Amino acid sequence: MRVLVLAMLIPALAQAWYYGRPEPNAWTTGGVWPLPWTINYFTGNHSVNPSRFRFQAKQAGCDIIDKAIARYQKLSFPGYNASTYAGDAGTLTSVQIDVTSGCPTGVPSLSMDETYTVSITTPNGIGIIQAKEVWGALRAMETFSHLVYLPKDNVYMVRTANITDGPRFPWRGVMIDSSRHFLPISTLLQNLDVMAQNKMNVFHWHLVDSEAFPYPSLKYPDLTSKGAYSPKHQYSVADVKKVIDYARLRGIRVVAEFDTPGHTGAWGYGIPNLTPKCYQSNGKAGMLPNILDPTVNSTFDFLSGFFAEALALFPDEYMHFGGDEVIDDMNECWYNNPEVRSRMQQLGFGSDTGKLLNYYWARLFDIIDKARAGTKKLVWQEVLDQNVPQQQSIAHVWKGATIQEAYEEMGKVTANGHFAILSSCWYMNYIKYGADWGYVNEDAMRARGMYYQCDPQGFHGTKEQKNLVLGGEAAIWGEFVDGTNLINRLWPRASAVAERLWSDPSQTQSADNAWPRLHEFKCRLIHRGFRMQPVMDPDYCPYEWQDGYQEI
Amino acid sequence: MVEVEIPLGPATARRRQPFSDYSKKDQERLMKICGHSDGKPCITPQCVIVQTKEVQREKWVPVLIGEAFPKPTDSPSKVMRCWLSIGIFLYSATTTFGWFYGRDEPDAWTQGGVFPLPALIKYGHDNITLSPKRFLIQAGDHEECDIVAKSVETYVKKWMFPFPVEAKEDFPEFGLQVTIEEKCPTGVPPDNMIESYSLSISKEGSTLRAQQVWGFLRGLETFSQLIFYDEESNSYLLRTVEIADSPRYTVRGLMLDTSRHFLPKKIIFRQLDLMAQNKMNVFHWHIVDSEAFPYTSEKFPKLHVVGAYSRRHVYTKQDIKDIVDYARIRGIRVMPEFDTPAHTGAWRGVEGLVTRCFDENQVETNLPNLLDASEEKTFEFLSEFFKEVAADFPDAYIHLGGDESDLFIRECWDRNVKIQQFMERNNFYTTTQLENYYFGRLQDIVANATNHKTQVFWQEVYDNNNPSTSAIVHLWKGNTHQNIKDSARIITATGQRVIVSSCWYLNYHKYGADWKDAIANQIESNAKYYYCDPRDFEGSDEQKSLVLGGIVTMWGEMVDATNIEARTWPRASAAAERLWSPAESTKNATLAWPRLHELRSPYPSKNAYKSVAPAEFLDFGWPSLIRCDMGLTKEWNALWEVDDPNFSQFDYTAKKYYICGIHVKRAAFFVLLLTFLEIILYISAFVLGWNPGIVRPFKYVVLPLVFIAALLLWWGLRDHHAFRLLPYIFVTLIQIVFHPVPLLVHLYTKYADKDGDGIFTDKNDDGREDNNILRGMSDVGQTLACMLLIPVVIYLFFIYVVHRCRKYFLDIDAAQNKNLPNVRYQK
Repeated sequence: MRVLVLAMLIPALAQAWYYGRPEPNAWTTGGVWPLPWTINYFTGNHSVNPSRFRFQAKQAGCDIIDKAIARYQKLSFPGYNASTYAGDAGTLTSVQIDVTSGCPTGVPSLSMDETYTVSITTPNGIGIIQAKEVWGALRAMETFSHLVYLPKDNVYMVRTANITDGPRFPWRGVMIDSSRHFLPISTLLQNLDVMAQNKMNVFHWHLVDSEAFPYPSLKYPDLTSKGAYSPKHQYSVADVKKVIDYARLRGIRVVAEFDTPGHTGAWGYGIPNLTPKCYQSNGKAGMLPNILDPTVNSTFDFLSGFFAEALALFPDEYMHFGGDEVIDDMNECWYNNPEVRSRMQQLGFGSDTGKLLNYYWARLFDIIDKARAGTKKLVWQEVLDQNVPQQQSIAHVWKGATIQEAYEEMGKVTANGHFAILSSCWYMNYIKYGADWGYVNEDAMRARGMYYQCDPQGFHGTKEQKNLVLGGEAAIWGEFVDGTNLINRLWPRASAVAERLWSDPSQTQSADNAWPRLHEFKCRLIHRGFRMQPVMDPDYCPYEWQDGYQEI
Repeated sequence: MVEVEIPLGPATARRRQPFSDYSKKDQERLMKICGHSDGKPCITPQCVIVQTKEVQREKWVPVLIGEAFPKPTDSPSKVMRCWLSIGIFLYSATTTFGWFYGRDEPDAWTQGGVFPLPALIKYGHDNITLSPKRFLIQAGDHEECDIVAKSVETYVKKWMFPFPVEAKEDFPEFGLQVTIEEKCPTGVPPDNMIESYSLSISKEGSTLRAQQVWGFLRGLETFSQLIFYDEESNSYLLRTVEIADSPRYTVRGLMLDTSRHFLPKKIIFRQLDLMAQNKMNVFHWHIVDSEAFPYTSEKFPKLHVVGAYSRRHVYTKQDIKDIVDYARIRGIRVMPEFDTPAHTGAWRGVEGLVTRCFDENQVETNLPNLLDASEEKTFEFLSEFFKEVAADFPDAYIHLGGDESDLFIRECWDRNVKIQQFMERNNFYTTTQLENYYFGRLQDIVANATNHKTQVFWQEVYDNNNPSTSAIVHLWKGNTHQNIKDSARIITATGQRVIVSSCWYLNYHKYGADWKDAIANQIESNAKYYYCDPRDFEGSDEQKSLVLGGIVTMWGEMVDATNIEARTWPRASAAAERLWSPAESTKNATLAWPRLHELRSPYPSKNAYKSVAPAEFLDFGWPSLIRCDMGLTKEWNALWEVDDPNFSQFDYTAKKYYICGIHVKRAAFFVLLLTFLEIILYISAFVLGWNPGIVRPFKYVVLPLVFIAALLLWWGLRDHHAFRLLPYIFVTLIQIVFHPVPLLVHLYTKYADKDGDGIFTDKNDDGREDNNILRGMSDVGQTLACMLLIPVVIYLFFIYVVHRCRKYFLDIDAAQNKNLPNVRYQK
């Protein structure tokens, strides 16, 4: 029945009805993803000769712009082969990039300005990109590259258009889990490229978890050597720096997550007395140690050393401190552990593990503030749900089985005056059969799709509440993904999230209408060499993905 | 002249004697094992018949059943083992759900494990050090055979030695002697290809024997899986082993759909490579469908010019030739499918072939999807077309589709005036008759055009129409494994051959380890791929042999080149093992996982602690399973050196638990039953006022305890975690301990002998005589009588348990006395 309803939805808008499915070649020409706030196409398009075409930066010498120019010179014209080029000389010869403010020295921040205008007009052979900051220029170049299309092999045209654009939310992220399965650096870098091409700007790096500790600590080398799956399954400091720099050049912030006090099983291998043993209520051994012990000072000594190092390595003003799923651990590893419990009593908390948890957060945040003053804190929503008094923290909302429940969670969190980021709608690790990016309207978190329809400001609330919404993140937890399937499992499903977080909601209400544009975008990225999987029934791309498999 | 060879131990020590020297009984046994005596060569799991070149003679080689899993060398003493195993059991029983956060250990690996599991495999206790530089596969004359030469090159250069090592010249040279009985085949693999082989690797010498080159290919794959990299010595080690292997099913396939999404040639090559590594042998190529027609016809070029997505989305004649040849080198058949009469929307390039279709208002729809069976020229076209197809695809089978025509009959035949007129002229009253007419003619045409290739049809054609009995029915329906097995049983009962795909619709992907687990809100046949065995029905061996095998399907709606590999593998490997390996030794996916994990991503032996850098392929698995699954059974079995998987085995999916080969749940139920009987007995005694001496203490102490324990037991059996078995132990302990207690209490306290005269009375506390049915007997007699029935049964049961366990210990002793090869225990 559901399939029927779904099938009836699609043709309602698309006249191309193809055996109950959208036509396999339903795509736009020069459509931009995510949709700009204002875009006016003109009739009459430019031809481009990629060899003669140049991006010209008005302000020279900014590494971000210079490297982006080199990148987009290639990305704009996928499949270009100069030796067999048979097109004309090109009526569009260059695009000027005009950035008002100077070249930033550091990494991008939450307050970065990503607004821009692009103007490719019919008579003039010079396109113009204008932006206040380089970050806007990066987004503009991506937009320009979407205006390019191939009328035939190795021949390139550019749509003429005027575009004024800027993001709806400042926080548009992807969360990646490198603990459950290790992810090679090359996969992370590739993912940053795809993120940039979706105009996403936050790489939330869930570095460590119960299972493994691939993050390299130089101060506590045992953490990594004992906590990582194996010596091959850890990052070096150079790797991390490479990721941060690669992201910076693409206007992406790297927000590292060190999830405490729960989910810390892999921390305990390398540091003695960090994670207490856990017991069932009958005194028998319980689950594996998976929560830090706040009743001993050595824990906080360790944390201050650890976070001093981590905060020096990750330059972003925000860091994610986790805090999710601690209830069972608090019970088994604090309350049921006689030693921890007796120390709790000595500290004056009696048997109230809630007080101990609040004590932990207070001390941890003191440590963070001492280690790097002004560090802004992001935590999973429980930390704030449990009334830990941290008003400046951002709540990362991940609960809610249905979209409606997710909205309720958002409403609650913002009603309490917290800034909020939404992930509940976008658990990309929960795969299912079908076009879940814009369809599959089930009421369970694992079965539900509708990524495109979920709106972080969709909850009932006051304007002030809605202003507290910073954006959202697509999350892909690592239980079933590693380097073999991360990119194609995540993309282009997460592209639906990218458009929701960037574009004007009133112009992007229908997944049916979005599909031809998403299709062109998906095929563009395949042509650029990224594994973008099919997400909408039978279709094809003009240039299919090929890998360089060497047969023998 | 027939000789029998027992290949136990090194080659030199093998017993070999003429067949006639065997006793009559043994001769009969061997004949029975080997199945036939017509002199044709064969290799079955139990015996090998070889025809040598010089003399046409047969050698019978019975091979004893070997162990399927490696075992430890340095095992603790027997007493120690006993205590340790009790310790492990109790420890596991209490801490189960804590193991690795409720999941499998990430480092469950075999070393040199073989996937799919060979029919017979017996590991030796030595490993041989290999140097890739000083490594030879000696195939003699067969080195000129292109299949041998190319596959050896692939394996040696690409697949055997994936980690770079320095060449070590001081290693001894290693040679694998290859014997292939038959000549290099000239064509593609036939449908009766023989894939059996035997492989013997020892320090004395290593041989791979196969009758046909196809068996050699499977043996080579097995050989490559026996190699593992040892980081400590930075070298490759090879397990010593005796293997006799052959597939259980003859058709083990993968279906790819190149219509819904186009798959570039190189992507198909990769899938063929992966198939070969999973010992799969049929590539079912669903080449065209409603959406697109990528097959290029020379006779009817408009078919693909109009029907393909674009001119880039076609397979040229050369592409097809390359793919067929690539498959041939890997021992894989290519069975093409041209699905008619429905699913033919993309055939619109030939005018008049696809009939016109109309909606309920008699308005013509723009996407017809059914052939016009009323036109003679349709059949003329099909005749010409299939001649061309037969030339492109040399396989013995051709798949003619035939599915889901009912979806289009109303629109395209019922509402089509021309078709209706044709039906009238021919006195067809139903469209089924028209369909039968179509299939009847199609079968004749294809038989003539393809020189009588075996025809394969989807299930509906059998259900609704009448395919010839020589055709094969391809099952794709059924929501449960039972449905599917029933279909297989019913269809094979009519003598029709069957191939099954219903169990393995891998395109339906979902969150979770669906290759082994049931998935919530999914029909059974959409998960648990490892557990679907289509021959698992009541029927004769002949009937079962009509189930030729299975084909894993990967329909193309949601897959293309970007994701097909990660989505297909290693989920399809579960089916590969089901279709290759004996059912008895592959009952448990938990036991298969470490081998599958190694197949997915072999890992250096030292520091092989946890997960692994992703290999280029494969997609799945929790970080691991529940540790207890592995820990309890693996360590427990290892301690006792028992290779019987039933010795202790906890299969949570099937909810079957064995200890000492005894089905725990059944045993527990037995004890439970007795306990309840006992409770009823005591309650009756209490209610009726009987007073055998035992009642009183039971009334106050034991009865409530037993009752609670029984409840606990009942509750525990409802769930599947190992620690829930604890109440079982609890109940049995109570049963053992408390039965003597009331007797002792009764005998040695003054409680019963109130007047102290040394004679037990049967008076109640108030001095009133009670109406004891055992009146007249002494209290001892009464108590014993009460104790006799149920406790004795329980004690007998425990004697049986001990006996069963003892059997395993005796087996171990016997094995050790025989000095059978012991195997290094692999973490």
